[in-house]
Amino acid sequence: MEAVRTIRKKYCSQAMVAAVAGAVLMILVGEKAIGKGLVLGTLFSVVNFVLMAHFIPRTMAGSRAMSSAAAFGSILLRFALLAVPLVVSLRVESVHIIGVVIGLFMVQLTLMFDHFVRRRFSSIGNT
Amino acid sequence: MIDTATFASASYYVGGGLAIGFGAIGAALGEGYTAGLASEALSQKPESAGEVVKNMLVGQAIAESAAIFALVVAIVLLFSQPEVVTPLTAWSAIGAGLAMGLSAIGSGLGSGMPGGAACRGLVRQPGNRGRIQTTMLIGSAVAQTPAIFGMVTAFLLIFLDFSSIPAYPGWAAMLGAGLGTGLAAIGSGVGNGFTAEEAVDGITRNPEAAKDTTRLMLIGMSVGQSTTIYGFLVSLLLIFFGFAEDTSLSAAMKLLGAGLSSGFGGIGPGIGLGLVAAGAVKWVARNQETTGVLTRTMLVGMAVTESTSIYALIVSLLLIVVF
Repeated sequence: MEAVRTIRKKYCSQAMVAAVAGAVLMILVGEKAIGKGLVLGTLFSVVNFVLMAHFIPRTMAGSRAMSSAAAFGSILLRFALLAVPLVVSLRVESVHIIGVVIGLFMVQLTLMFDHFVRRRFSSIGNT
Repeated sequence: MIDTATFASASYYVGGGLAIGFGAIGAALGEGYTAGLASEALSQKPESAGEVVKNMLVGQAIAESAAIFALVVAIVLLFSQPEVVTPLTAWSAIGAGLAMGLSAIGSGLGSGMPGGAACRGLVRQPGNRGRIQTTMLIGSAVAQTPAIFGMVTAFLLIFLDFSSIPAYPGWAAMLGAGLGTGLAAIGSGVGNGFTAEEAVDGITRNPEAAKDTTRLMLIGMSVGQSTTIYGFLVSLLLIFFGFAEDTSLSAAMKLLGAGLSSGFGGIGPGIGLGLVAAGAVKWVARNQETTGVLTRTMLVGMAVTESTSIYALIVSLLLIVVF
């Protein structure tokens, strides 16, 4: 599963870099709470993606019962984890929920950005 | 009998449970569908395991977005109860949970379908990876739109100030608003999935037709979302129309009926519209020269398929405005 490790590393690091850049920007414009939320949400989005990739060999190998149990456990664990930053943002004033929500989608946004923007620009550069 | 305060507080927990409970169904089905087709692809060409599993992971991550929307709404409902909870805000919370949870069912399943088709396509046409993945990502992302309508309705129900609206029949309007968008979005989400899956299959088969296939897919998916828009429109009317106080059961039931009419009335046409578009996309990819006639036929077919959802919309409007 080297391909999965590569994609996990690539998108997770890109998502974190994007979150930190976004957070710096937010802090500069005076929205510190949104910046903090962005980083916190992205961190958990990355952990979710890592766990998703981690569980793939377990869900694809073994008996059907084992696969189903691993898939169900993976979903429960990951959703419980994703709830953490949302709860924190609703309990702690210095973390804004809008930042957290955007952060939770940062891996997906990075996937889209990588495919539609970066690859397009790199293909233009190659031609 | 439970007192009003207890019911009001409990309704936020019920709303949260409905949001993530229903919301998880669609994402799980969509992710399972992607993984199932990935297994089918791997059985045909085990040496492509790396590429297929990588694509499966990306497809599943996008399909999971609908469940994350639902999770956000659920957590907001569970942890941000207002200090003063009235019976009306209590029903709004349940309506919000229904709007988000139900709408995420269709989007979760629908956005998993192109992911599965892409896994199958990568094995058949590994040289066409870029186009297959692009179509998959566009299709999956657009299929999330019905869930976004559900989320918008949920946030309106959670955060708007309803203090000027009478509790009777307002409670039924709030519940109807949640059901109107939530149920209608199920059909569009699933229908969009059929269209996007067929587009990915078509581009796998004939990469030269990628432009026409993608264009037709987007037109088909956009028109396929009209039933969700009808449901959303009825929800907005139920939220903003303003009703005089009336404690009779019939006054409440007509508003609830309006939501149910546009909601249930949108499921079948939403799926049907997706099937019409899927058929057109499939054959454009096989015979690109027929793009013009297939587009016209698709739009006519969609107009007819959509008629039952328009009947439901008319009944909803009659229930809100006339009766």
